[in-house]
Amino acid sequence: MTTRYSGVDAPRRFLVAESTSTATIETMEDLSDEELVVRYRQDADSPAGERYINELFRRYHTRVATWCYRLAGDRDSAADHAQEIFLKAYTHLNSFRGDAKFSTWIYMIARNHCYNEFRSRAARPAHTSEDIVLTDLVDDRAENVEEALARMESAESVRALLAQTLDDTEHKVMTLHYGEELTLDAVTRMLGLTNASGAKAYIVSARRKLSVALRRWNTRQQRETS
Amino acid sequence: MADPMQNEKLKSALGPAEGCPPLEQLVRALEASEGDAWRKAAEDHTATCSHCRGELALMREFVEASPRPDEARNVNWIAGRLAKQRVFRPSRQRLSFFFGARAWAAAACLVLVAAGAFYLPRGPGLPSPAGAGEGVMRSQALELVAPLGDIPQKPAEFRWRAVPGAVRYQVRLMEVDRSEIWRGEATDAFLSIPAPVLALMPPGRTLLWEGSAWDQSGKALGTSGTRSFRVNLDSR
Ligand SMILES: [Zn+2]
Repeated sequence: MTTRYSGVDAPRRFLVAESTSTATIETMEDLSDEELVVRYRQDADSPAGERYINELFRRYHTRVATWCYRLAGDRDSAADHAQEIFLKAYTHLNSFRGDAKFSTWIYMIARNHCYNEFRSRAARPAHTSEDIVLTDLVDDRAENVEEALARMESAESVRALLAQTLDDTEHKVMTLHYGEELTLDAVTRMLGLTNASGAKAYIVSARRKLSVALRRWNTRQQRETS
Repeated sequence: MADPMQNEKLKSALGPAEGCPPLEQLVRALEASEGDAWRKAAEDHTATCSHCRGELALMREFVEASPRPDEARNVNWIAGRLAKQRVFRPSRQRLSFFFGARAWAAAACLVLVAAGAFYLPRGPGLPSPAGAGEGVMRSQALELVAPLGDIPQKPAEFRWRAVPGAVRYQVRLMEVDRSEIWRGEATDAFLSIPAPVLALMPPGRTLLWEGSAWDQSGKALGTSGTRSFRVNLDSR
């Protein structure tokens, strides 16, 4: 086989094995991510091994690029971050044991890299005017969510209440903003939220829902204790 | 206004709890066949754990990420750059970089050390895995020349003073916590820095590096101490 794989425009399909007796042709595309890692390890010492690893990483170029672009908000620094992620993935490939999916594994690398970078870059005080505005937006009649949450003694209960009350997008927004301390702007970009006020609107709706759920929870508690 | 202490309750509820499985396991379990006890346990946990629900949703966000029309041009540009600057090409250069596949087998055990460093931050006092014994370090020191300290722009190469009898040098580039991010080899007293590695040196980021020298028989001749450098912030 003489096909060489190099450059951006190289064809995605090329032979990796050919059996003349059965005339079956296996292409890179037929291999799962995890199989590519195994093949790469078997042939790590040859150009064939490099084709496997390049194909594997190529499958994630757009995803990592999209993820970094959304977080960074500008093309050049997103490209630098994406490169760092692949460099880390390559350097630590030996720690991929195959009991997880490769997509989860590389996601963890991208996640840790980006959250660390963007948390430190934001370097904002933990709670800013964003929170004040949010509190103002919450329905006046609704009980203050933080105060009500503070009264819930068990962390498990808070965790379960959130899990049962919020939808997936609200979970993502809350996790990134409160859990990972990303700014609302970064959360909006990262999740590609196109509504007018972005992540802020989801936080407001999450807090409204929580407020209602907390009132129900309080009523139930009172009934149970009386 | 929101009291930061009270927001802590939200923050901790959205963080991992003791009973949270690693995300890799959770994903696998949720993909097990219907009725599988492992899957049932994972579903039950996710239904009552805001942290795991958030993490799963974010992971799906990544796995399913595809650029919107307004992002496509920039994302394609980044993906194109990634494809062009692949560091995993067969190296026909005189210098054999760590990323050349040929170096893989020999370096596998060292990568294992680096992988450990990635997941478990290492203290600054841990020994270098470069293989140079302490006696060797005393016998002959390798003197690093550049880059050192604050520098006006990204360096084109690592440079050091040649060690008599050395036929091979090795350079390790590290984060400030000493976790290795790159390793390269050279036969002369310099090592060109490939573009993907330069991308790891944004202005203002302090990095560490060290070198070691080896003779024809593979004996370590000497090693440098660890030195730091940083590209000045105003170099953009
Ligand atoms: Zn959990």
